[in-house]
Amino acid sequence: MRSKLRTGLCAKVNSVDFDNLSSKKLLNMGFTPGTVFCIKRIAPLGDPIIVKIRNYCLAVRKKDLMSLSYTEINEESL
Amino acid sequence: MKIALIGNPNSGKTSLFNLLTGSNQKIGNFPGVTIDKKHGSLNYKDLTAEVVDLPGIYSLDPDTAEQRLTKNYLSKSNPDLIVNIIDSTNLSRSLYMTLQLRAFNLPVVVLLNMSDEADKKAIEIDELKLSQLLNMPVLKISTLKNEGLKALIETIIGIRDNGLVVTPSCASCKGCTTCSEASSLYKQIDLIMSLCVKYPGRKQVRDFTSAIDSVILSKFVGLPIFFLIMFLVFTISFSGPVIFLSDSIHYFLTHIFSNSLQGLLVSIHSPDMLIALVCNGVIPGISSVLSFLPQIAMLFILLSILEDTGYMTRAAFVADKFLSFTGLSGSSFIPMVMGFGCSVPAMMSCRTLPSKKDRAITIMIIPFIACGARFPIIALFAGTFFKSNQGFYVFLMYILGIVVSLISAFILSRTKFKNEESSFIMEIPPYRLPVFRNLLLFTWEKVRGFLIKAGTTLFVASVVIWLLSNYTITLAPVTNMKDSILALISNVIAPIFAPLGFGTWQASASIITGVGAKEMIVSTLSILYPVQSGGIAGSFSLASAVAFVAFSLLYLPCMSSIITMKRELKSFKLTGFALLFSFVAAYIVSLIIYYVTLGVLR
Repeated sequence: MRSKLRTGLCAKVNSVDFDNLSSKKLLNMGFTPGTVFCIKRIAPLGDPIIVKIRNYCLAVRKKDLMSLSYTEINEESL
Repeated sequence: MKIALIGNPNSGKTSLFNLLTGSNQKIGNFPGVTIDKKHGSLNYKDLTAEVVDLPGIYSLDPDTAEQRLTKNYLSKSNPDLIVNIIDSTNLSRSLYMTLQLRAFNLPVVVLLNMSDEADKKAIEIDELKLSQLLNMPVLKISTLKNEGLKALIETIIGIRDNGLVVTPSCASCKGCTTCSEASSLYKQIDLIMSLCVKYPGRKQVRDFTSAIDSVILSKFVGLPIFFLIMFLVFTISFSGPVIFLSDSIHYFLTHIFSNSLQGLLVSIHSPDMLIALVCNGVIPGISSVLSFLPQIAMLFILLSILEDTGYMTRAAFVADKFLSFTGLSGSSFIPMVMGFGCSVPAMMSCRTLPSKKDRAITIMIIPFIACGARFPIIALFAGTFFKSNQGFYVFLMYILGIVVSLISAFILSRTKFKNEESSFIMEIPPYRLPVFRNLLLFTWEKVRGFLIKAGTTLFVASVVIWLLSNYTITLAPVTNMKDSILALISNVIAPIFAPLGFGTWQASASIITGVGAKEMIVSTLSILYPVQSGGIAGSFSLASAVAFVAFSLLYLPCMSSIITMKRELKSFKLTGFALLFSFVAAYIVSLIIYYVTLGVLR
C-alpha cells in the first residue's frame, strides 16, 4: 500500500528495479529488500526529501524513491 | 611501500591524508578536494611510504567516472596496503565498500574514524569481533582529536615487516555473482552489525544535527537562510578589508616595487627596452592578477567552511527543486558555487555528478559563472563608470552570469541532452566543526595554483603582449601603438564587435589575450590604455563599457578551462560545441545589453 510521502512516514523496502539507474544507486546506498526507512524532512520547495536509513540521512527526490517498491509500516512497531 | 587511502565522502579521509603526509603533498596542476589523485609521503622513524588519496566514493561498481578510476587503480597499480577509513557513526553503509574491497585480494586495514563522535552517541562497536568477522585489522581513530594515529603507523610497520595473510573471500565460482551482489553484501553487513554493534535505545541521545536542521531546513526559514548564507559568502569575500588588502598589494607592486626595480635597472645600465618590458609589460600584467589573491583566498576559505560543516550538501538539497526546472539537480549546485572561485576545479568536481547529462551540462555552463579572474574586469569598469554604486553593479554582473548559466542549462537539457534522465541522491552528513588545518591546506592549494599561473602563463603572456604591442610587423619599435603587430591583428577582428559598441582594436586585442587567461583582459587594457593618458574612461561609452564587460564575462572560457573542459567531456565535438555555444550566447546577450543601455540612456 502506498500513500502520499509525508514527514514521519516509515516504510519497508520490498524490491528494487534494477533497470533504473537511480534505483541501483539507492541499492548501493543500502536500500536493500527488508530495510526500513523513515522520512525525516521535506525540502522548503516540496522536493527532495531527507530519509533516514541504516542510521544515516540521505536526500533523495520523490521520483527516485518511487522507483522502489515499499510497504508503509507503523512507526511504533520499529 | 605504497598505501592506498579509500573511504566514503564525509568519512574524514582528507583529514587523515593531511595528518599522515603533512606538508609533503604532491598535487596535479589543478587541485580540488579529493578529486584529483593526490599523493604524499608518510615518514615516521624508519617507515617511508607513499600515500595515495583516492576519490571519496560509496561503491566500487563502475557506475561513475570516479568509481571506475578507483577500481582500476586498485586492480592495476598493486598498492601494498589499502587503508579503508570509515565513519563509525555510519557503519552499516560504510561497510558496503569494505566488503567490496575483499574482491581485490589485497591487505586492508579498516579505520573506525570519528570514534569520539560514536562514543558521544553511545554507539558501542566491538572492534575485535569486527576484525575477526572481516578478517582485517580494525583500529579506532579520531582524525579530529588526533587519536589512534600511532597505532595505525605501528600496524602499517607490522604489515610491512611481517605481511598480512589475505584469504580470498569469494571462490569466484563460474557464473555466480552472489558475492558481489548488493543485497547479499548488505545481508552480511546486517549479520556483522547484529554481532558487533550496540546502538542506544531510541531518543536517549540528543541529536544536535536534527535540532539544527529542523530550523535551517524548515519550510519558511530554509530558503531565506540559504540566500543569506550565499549573500554573506560574497559580501565577506569582497568586503572592505579584503579589497583594501588587494589594493595594497596592487599599489606595492605597481608603485613601490616597480619604481625601485626601475631604479635598480637604470643604475646597472640595463637597456631601455628591458626596463620598459619589465615596468610597462610584466609588472602591470602580473600585478593586476596578484592583487585579487586576497578575494580568491577568502572565497575558498568560506566555501570550504560551508563544505566541512556540512551546510553545502544542505544547500544542494534546498536548491535542488530550483535547479530541477533547468533540467539539472541539486548536485550541480556545488560545482556551480565553486565556479565563482575558478572554473577549473569546478569542472573537475563534476566527476562526482551522478549522470552523464548532469556532468556535461554543468561543465558547459560553469564558464558563464563569473570566476575570480573575471572580478578585476568588473571591478575596473565599475570603478571607472559606476563610481557611486559600484557594489550594486558588481552584484548585477554576478547575477548576469548566474542567469545566463541557468538559461543555458534549460536550453541544453531540452535540446542536446533531452533524452537523458537526471536524479538527486545525496548523503546529508551530520554537522561537524571544520578543522582549521584542513581549511588552510585547502585554501593554500588553490592560492598556489593561482601563483603558479601568475608566474608562468601570465608572465609569458605579458611579455608576448608587450612585444606585440610595441613592435611593428618589420620588428621596429613603435612610436604609436596603433602601428603594432597586435593592433594589426586586432583590427581584422574589430568589426565583429562594432555592433556591440566596442569595435576598437584595443578592446579586440584584450578579447584575444583574454582567451589565454581572463585576467589578461585587464592587463591588456592597462597596457594599451595607460593610466597616465586617462585609462579606459575616455575610450568606452557607458553603453559600450557595459556591453564589453558582459561580453568578456561570458565569451570563450580561458585556455586552462578549455583544456580541462576537453579532458572532462572527453570529446572534441562536445567541447567545440560548448565553445561555440558560449561565444554565440555572449554575443547575443551583450548585443541586447548594449541596445537596452542605449535606450535607457536616451
